[in-house]
Amino acid sequence: MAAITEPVAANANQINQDILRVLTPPSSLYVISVLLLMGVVGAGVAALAYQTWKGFGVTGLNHPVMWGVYITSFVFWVGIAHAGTLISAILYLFRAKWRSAINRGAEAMTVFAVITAALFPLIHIGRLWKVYFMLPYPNQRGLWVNFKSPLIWDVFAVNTYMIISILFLYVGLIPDIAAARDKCTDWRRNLYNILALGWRGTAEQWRHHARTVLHLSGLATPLVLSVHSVVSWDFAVSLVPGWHTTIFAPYFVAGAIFSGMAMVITLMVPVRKAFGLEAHIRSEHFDNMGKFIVLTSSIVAYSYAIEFFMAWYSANPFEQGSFWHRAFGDYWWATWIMIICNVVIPLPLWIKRVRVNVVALWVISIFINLGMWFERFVIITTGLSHEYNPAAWGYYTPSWVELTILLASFAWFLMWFLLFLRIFPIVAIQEVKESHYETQEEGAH
Amino acid sequence: MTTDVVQPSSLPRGPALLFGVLALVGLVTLFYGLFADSERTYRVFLHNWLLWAALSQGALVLSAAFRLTNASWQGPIHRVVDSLAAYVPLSLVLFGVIYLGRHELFEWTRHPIHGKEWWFSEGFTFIRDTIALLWMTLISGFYVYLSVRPLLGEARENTSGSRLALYQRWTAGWRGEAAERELAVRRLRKLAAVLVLSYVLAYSLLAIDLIMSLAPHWVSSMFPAYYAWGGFLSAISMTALLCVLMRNSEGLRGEITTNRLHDLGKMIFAFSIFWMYLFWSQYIVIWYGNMPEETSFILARLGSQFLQDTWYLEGFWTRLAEPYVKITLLAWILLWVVPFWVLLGQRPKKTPAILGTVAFGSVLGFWIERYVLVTPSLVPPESGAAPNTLLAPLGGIEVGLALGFLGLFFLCFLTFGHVFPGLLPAKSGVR
Repeated sequence: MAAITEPVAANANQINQDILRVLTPPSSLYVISVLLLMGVVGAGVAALAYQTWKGFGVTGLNHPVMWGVYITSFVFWVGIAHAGTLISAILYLFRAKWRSAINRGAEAMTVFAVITAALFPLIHIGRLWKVYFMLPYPNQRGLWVNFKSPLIWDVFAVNTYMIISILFLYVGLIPDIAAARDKCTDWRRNLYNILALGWRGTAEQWRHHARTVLHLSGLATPLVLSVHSVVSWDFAVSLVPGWHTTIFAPYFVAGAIFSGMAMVITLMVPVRKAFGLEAHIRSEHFDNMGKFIVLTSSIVAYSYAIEFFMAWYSANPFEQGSFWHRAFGDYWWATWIMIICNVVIPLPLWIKRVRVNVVALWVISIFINLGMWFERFVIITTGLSHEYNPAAWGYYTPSWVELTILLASFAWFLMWFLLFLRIFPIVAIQEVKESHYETQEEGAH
Repeated sequence: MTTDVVQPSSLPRGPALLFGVLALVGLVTLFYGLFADSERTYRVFLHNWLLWAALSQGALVLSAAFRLTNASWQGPIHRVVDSLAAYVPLSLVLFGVIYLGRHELFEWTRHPIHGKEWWFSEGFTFIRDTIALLWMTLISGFYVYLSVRPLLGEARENTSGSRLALYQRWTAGWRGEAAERELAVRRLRKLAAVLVLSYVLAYSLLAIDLIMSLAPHWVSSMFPAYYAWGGFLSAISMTALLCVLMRNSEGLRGEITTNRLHDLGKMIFAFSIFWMYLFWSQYIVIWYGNMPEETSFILARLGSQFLQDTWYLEGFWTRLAEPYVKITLLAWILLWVVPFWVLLGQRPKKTPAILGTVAFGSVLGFWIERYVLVTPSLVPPESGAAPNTLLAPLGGIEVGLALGFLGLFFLCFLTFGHVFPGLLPAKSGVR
């Protein structure tokens, strides 16, 4: 193996110190960032209030494109939420040890991404106060939700996913909260005291902890596949040309992991730099994340290709027309942004030198985020704008209200992430220690 | 540690004789069938070809996956996996038989399909498929060469005859064992990525040209990936089966530990769930859309029961008696129901008899599944038959050809172990 030129953590104490240092009083830059983000969230809330007051006419949504930026963002954010569970559950079961440096960040990101995603159906229904109509419960009106609708499957899928990802984050946090509790002197000590659930680090507690993580992983693994599959069926089970195609479920899941991994990189690179975590989040971690990007980008590219091919192969003029429209019609620019960002720009990551170059990886990851948002936009919007009847074709332009809310969703997501950083350890201390000592043991042989 | 020295060995007499006889049975059946009922013979040949080609190539994809993920649990198992690829060149050769039978198999060779005339034209279709198979054979050969080469240096010393000549050719420019090993690991990792990518593209193409084209109006963007995944899963099942069967053989003794069995079991378990996921994702979209150009494929295999708008119990057994339904369900039971429920716990995964039986069932399930993919397109259920009868019976030709392929496949496997003795199986510590 090549010589490691990066700093490596010396011992367990240093690991504690390094990671808990993130929790010390924040710099003014941090405070300003959080306030700025809160301001943008405020603008989003104002836009939402305006939309709720005036009605849905203030959006660009109209016949035939009734699903636009909101549903695009919903699918996008659910997708982002996939990296966390992939890393914590699937990589855990596959015994991929490198995950320990990034799993906490990814899990936290997952929770905030699901919360962000869950806002969009609410925003999209317009009459927010009717939201409980989505939940099935016995009622005097004798009304039930339509269980045959994939939109209702979504309610279940996303909520299940939210519960599991919060549990995952929390269970992993318990030992680390206890470590923080033991060092903490300010107001957070009471919080940690409660959340640590009396953790003392006894052998018995560790045993239970390990069993819990294992079982949670087993339960969460199918969820990585199911959630975005259900989301994909919102589209695929309809008869809209460009939507109705069988590959959608795995294609959406691969895209979700692709975008989620990219978002982990987008977030963790600045965090690593700002808080001096270079000794814990090392280039081998970025190398592996880069490999995941290469794999999922290839699957996404395969799906694009097979979709276009099958549209032609079907000999169905509507299907062919929809895909022609997608590539060369009104929305050609969105389609080509999608293809370039998701297929072409990640290509250099096949080379190891690029994968371990943190700056290059970071820049590519931002393009992937952009590309994946556009992928959802392309699928949703081009499909609806160009259905069967030429008289019902149309063009959709998002209004400022929609764009403000979209921007605010990013601010909202980042705001939670930044707040989380300061309250809970962003790197899983106990797991880093485990792999630290295992590496040492291997080295000793 | 690195004691996997190549020792000369001869073909194991018993198995070699058995598989040789089976291959001969296959050859005789092929010639008999071509005179007796050529349409049926080509159909059965295609179905078997689809199974074994994807299985042997899928095995090399598994080997590539081990290398790409830096897997370290498998020990000598990856030598077993590499040996399964010995059949790969033969699938290219046997593709020639499919070409000979093109007029019997592919309707479009006689009546071009409107809108797909150039895609399904005799020249273009078979040339591109041959190129795909040729490419797969070449890189597979190169992959196996790189994988085997570091182990041949020492082997040259105690070998003679034609084997020595081969070893010398394959070890030209020898750099010393340590350097060779390191170089091989680096090169193989790069080649592994190319191999996986090529497999997905080539076997997607074959799925379109050799299976979807049998029902040329049917469309499913999932199907090519579904077929390719089947090849991968069947290779895992075959690996598990062989590891269980050969666990007490010369070089594998003591290597197929409980932990390794557990890991093999987990792989079958997880990837069979993924197979089910792919199947379900394809099925639900088709069921929900309910468009004839999509449902036709399902209707011909799973019958009308699985295309009802809801779960009507009345007439359930009548619908289940429709042609091909039960055999399709049998494939599903062997490929998902049994692996899922039996391998759910830890103990069954670690018990050789149970794991081996499930793995055997899975390979058999794929043989049936490939039959179901091919046959109903060529002998459609509309042609009418009494309930519960198979329209395309499992008769002498079916059994004979299946045994022939089985024999050929394992002759290749054994020959590989004979030419590179000691590699199969090799001692642990080899990466």
